[in-house]
Amino acid sequence: MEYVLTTQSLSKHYKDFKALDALTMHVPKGSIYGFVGRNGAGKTTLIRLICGLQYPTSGTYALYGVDSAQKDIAKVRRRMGAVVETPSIYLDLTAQDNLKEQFRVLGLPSDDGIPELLKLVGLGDTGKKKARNFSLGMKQRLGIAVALAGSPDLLVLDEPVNGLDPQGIIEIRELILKLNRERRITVLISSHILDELSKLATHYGFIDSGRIVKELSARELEAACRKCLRVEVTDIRVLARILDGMGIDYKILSDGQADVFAQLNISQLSRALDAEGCELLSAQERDESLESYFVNLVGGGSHD
Amino acid sequence: MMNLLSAGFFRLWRSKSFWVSLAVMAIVGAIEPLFGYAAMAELAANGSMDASVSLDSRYIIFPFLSGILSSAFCALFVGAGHSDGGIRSKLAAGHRRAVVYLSELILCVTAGALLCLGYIAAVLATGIPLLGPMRTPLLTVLWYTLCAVIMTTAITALFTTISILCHNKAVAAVACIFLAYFLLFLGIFLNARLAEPEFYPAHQSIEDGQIVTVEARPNPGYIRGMKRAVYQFLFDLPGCQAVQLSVTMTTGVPPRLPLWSLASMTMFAGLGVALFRKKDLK
Repeated sequence: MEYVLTTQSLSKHYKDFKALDALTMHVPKGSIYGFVGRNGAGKTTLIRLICGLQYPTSGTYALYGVDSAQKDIAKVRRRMGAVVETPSIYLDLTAQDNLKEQFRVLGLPSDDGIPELLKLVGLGDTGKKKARNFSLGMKQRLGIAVALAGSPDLLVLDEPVNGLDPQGIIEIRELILKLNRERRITVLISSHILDELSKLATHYGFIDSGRIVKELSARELEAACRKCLRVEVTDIRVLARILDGMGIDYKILSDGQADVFAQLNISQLSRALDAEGCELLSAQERDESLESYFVNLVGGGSHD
Repeated sequence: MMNLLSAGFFRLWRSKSFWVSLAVMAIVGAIEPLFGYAAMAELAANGSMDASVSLDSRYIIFPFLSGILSSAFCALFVGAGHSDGGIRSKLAAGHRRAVVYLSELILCVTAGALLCLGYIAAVLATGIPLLGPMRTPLLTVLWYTLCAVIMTTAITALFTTISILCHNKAVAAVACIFLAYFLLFLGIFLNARLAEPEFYPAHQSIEDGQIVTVEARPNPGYIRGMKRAVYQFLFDLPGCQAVQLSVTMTTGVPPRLPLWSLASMTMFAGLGVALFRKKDLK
C-alpha cells in the first residue's frame, strides 16, 4: 500500500509531559484517515509537527516518502493543505482577499481559480463581507478553501466540525467527501466526534496518551463492530461443523468461544449441538459501535 | 521571499491598523504648523520683536511619534499573523522560518518608513505656506530625515521581533507600546543627565551692596567615567536616540547614530531569526 504520511517512533515532549510518545502511524494514499483520540491525546501535536510548526523531540515522519530530516520536506509540504485548530484566515479581509493573499503566498501566477474555489466551499456569494462577520461554519469552509489553494494532494483537518451546528457539520462532511471522491485528495481528519467520523473515514488511527493503539481500515472496523451472537460451547469443533453445515458466517475466538454473524434460532442450534454431544453454555448478542470500540480500546479512564 | 512580500504588501494595503497609523501621523503633521502659526500670531499681537516661529521645530517631532505608532502597528499587524493563522499558513505552505521572519521584518520596516513620510509630507504641505521654509540648510535637514527614518526602522525591527516571538497579540501590543514609551522617557532622562555641565561657571553677584565673586566649582551631578559611557551608549540606542536626533538636528546629527541604528537593526533581525527558528508555534 502507498502511504502519503508515515511516522516512525515520533515523540514530542514538553518538559516532562509526553504529548507524543513514539507514535507510529500510516496514512494510505486516497484515504480519509480518521485520527481518533480524546482531548489531550496528542492529535493536534502530531498535526503541528507535520505542518512544521513544531519540531519532534525524537523520531521522524515522512511526507510522500520524504523524511522530515531532509531539506526537501519544506517543498513537499506544498503538496499539503492544513487547517490546524482554527482556520488560517485574516478576519479583516473578505473571503476573496483571503484567497488572493494565499495565492500570493504560494506564488500562484493568477487569481483565476479563486471563484471556483469559493464556489466549491459554498462561499461564492459572500461579496465584500469580511471574514469577521462569517458564521463559524463559513469560517471553517473558508479555512478549507485557503488550505486547498495550492491544489494539495493531502488535506489535514484538525477537528473541523468542532462547534458547528448540524447544518454546518453536514456541509463540511459533504465537502470532505467531495474532495476525496472527485479530487482524489487524501484527508487526515482528527476528531473526537466519533459518530461524525464514522460517516467519513475509510481508515482509522486510534491514539491514546501520545501513542497509536490501533490502526485499521473502516472495513476491518465494521467487521469488528458487526452485530453478532457470541456463543460459548463445550466443543468448538462441533459448533464449527454445524455452522458450516448451516452456511453461517462465524469467527472462532477461542477453544470455547465464537462470534456468529447471523440471526440464529437458539433452540435449533442448541438441539443440533446437543445431538453431537456439545453443550451450549451461553449466547450473548453483541452490537459494538465505534464509540464502544474506542472505549474498549483506550479504556474509560478520566480525561487528562 | 518575493511570494511572501507580495502577499504581505497585499495585506498591508488592506490593513486598517496601517492606514489608521498613517492617518494619525499625517493629521499630527498637518496640525503642528497650525499650532506654530497660532503661536506666531499671538507673539505678533503682543508686539514681540521676533514674532517668527520656525517650521524646523515642528519638523523634528516625527521620530517620537513614529516610534510609538510603529510599536502599536507592529504588534497588531504581526499579531494578526499569529492570531489569524497567517504565519502558520505560510509555514505549512513550505516557507522557511527565516524567510517568514524576514518578510515580516521588511513589511514592518517599510510601514515604519511610510509613517515617517506621512508626517513629513503633511508637515511640509501645511508648514511651508504658514511658517515659511525651514531655516536649517537643506542638506542638514535631509541628513536628519535620513537618520530619523533609519532610527524608526531600527526600532520597528525591535517591535517586529517582539511581536513575532509573542503568540498573544494583546501581550505583544502592551509590551511594544510600553517599550516605546519607556525608551522615549529614558531618552529624555539621559539627555537631561548627560547635558549637565561639568563645572558651574565662575560668576559675580551683589550681596548687601558688595560684589561677591563665586569661583567655578565642579557639578556634583555631572556623570563621569564608566557611568557616563553607559549612559551615552543607552542614549545612542534607537528609541532613546529620538531625543538626541531632535537636539542635534540644526547642528548636524552625528554619523554614529545611524550606524548604531543599522547595527541594532541587524542585531534584532539576527536575534529574531535565531529565536523564531527554534520556537514551537501553536
